Amino acid sequence: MALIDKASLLFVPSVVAEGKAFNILPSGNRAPDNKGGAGYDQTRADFDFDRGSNTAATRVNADGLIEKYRENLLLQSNAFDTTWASVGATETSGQSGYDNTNNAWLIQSTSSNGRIEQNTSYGSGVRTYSVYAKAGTSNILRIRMQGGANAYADFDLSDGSVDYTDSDVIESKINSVGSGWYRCSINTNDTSTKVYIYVIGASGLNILIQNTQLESGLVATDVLTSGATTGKAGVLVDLPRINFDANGENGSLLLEPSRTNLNAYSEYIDGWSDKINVTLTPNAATSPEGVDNAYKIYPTATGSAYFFDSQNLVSGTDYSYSIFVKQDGVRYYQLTTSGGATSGNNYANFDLQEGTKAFDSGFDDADIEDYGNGWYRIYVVFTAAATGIGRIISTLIDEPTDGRLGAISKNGTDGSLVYGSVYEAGSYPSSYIPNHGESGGVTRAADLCTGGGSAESINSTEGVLYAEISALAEDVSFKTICLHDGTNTQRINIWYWNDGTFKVDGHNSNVQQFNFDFDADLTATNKIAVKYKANDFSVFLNGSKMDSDTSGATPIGLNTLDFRNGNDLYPFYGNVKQLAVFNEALSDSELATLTTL
Amino acid sequence: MKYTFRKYEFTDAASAQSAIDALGIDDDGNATHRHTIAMLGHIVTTAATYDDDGEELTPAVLADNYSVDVLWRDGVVDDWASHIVWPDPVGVHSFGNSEANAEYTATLYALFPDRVPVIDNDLND
Repeated sequence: MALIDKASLLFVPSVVAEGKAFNILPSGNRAPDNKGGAGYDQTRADFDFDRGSNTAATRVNADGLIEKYRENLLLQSNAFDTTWASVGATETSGQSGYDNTNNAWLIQSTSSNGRIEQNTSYGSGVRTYSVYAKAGTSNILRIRMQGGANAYADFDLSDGSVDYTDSDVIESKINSVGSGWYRCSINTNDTSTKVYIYVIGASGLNILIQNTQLESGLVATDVLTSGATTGKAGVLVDLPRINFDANGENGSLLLEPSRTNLNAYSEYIDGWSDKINVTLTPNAATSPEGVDNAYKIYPTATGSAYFFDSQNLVSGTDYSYSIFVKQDGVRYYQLTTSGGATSGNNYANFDLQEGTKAFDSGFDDADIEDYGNGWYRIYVVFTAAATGIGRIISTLIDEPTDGRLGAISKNGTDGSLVYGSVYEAGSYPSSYIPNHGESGGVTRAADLCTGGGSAESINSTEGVLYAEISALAEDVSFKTICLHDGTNTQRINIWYWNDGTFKVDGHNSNVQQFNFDFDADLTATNKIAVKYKANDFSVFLNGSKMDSDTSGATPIGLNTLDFRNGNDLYPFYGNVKQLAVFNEALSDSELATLTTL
Repeated sequence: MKYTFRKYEFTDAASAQSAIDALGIDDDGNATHRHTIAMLGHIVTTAATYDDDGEELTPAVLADNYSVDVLWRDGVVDDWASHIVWPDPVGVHSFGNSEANAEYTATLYALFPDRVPVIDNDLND
């Protein structure tokens, strides 16, 4: 029998649902009610999970791609005889569609430029509106997004071309999907009060349509079908995030504190404060998200070429700025600061070919992380020296040793690809937070995973608490994983202590019974096990016995496993690859084996 | 979990912090509640302008009041009612919760029907 099979509770992040992170052991029916109601096996001892954000939370999925929350903001996205209003048009279902179904609709005009339309109610932001269409007796389809302005484009379905694009549209696209069908899309940065589909031309003409979609962001993504409620997919509210490396390996539960992306346009670079001597092309390449929403940036003339985001910073606060970049002819990329809130105008140069930091003039931290397919996330960390303006400037440079805002040669094509910037208060960059137009920022609420375990799966007399975990960064604050009795008086803790070390301790009736402190690289994945038994306590880290104590009593009444302390404080933020509780005190050789890397 | 998104203004940071602390803190100043709070501060009402070299021409203009957004868990705290404000959806900041944003928008338009956007179908083309 494998050692791990002796566990009474085993959590390996693999199966999650909204509000729940499921254990492997104890086993039992986990469906259909994730709130512990009818049909749910109460002995499972699963974790409850909450995070109040969906659109602000992302992860790297098993394909190594950044995964967001997606939502089709329209209702009845493929049922045009309800919710949609007809103005000089009729609609007939049951038509042959682009996907070999009979789910397409024929829109027949009964007056010139007949249309269908749906009211919407969304504040300002970058959104994309799309529809599949095929020519009927009319070749010209118009789609329109109304808000403060009228953004629309006309598409020629006879040859797959864009006939006209209104100036309020960021980009219009028409992509063939076969059999005469096209997916037509437009996007704009505006409020949204109504969307339209027109059959352009005289009365009596028609066009086939299928699957409309209105969504946040710069591109149309895979179809989400809305009915009476909007279609949703991806990282949902209260859905635990199993986060992977860029190669799709090492899945772990990602638990992060709340963070705010202050950059109002994390993807729509045209919305940034200013662009100097650069040409910006939206949707020019595939981003780390796996869709074509990366910007291309290239110098308009030889000289300093840069663009920047400006925020109001608070003195003494740590800030992290990150952006995904990929070389597209220009190998080196610089991040630098300016403004009264930033001191010294530090700069860091990055080599996007080798994936290295080439130079750092003195940021608190600066680094580069590989996201695959030539993409890197580069970041800098600094402390605001004063309250006021703090700009982060992205600069294209020729050489790794170029100085601040160094000049670059222009050839009209070479540049960089960029995507997904985050300007956040914090001493390290957190996971990507999309922001499609909120100037005050978008806040991702904190992850909280609690309430695992049960009296049956946790033995108070003797046992082992085991965790395979890594810290998000070398920040120094209290974070803990805790076995407790529902209060804070009886508990076993594994801590990331506020001096950057591990600490393991246990309390009986609020009196500390054992206490082990030791150094380790907290950002590495560590396997740690604490054994507890009367007058027999020890801790193992990565195969080595770190400390022991032969005096003390065990806690009593343990019945809960939490990613925070028994008094609801000090939530654990980090990556969790495995967590286990054993109902017996394992031997030293077993503990060494359990924690061996 | 029921999340409710509301927006508030205080006269200054100290009065905002006082209201936040009243939601619950322990002896070390750690929050003992599970609401998510974003202290937006004095938000920008007029953005800064820049010249062709990126130098600031006019600084940003900030609001007099101190703004705080809250994502309430399981109900709004009534004590904050006197500070509530209702900017058009969803103001300058949100918690990235689509359902909470939609509820905010629906509540705003129910409270202030005259602020529902007027739709003009003319395309003027």
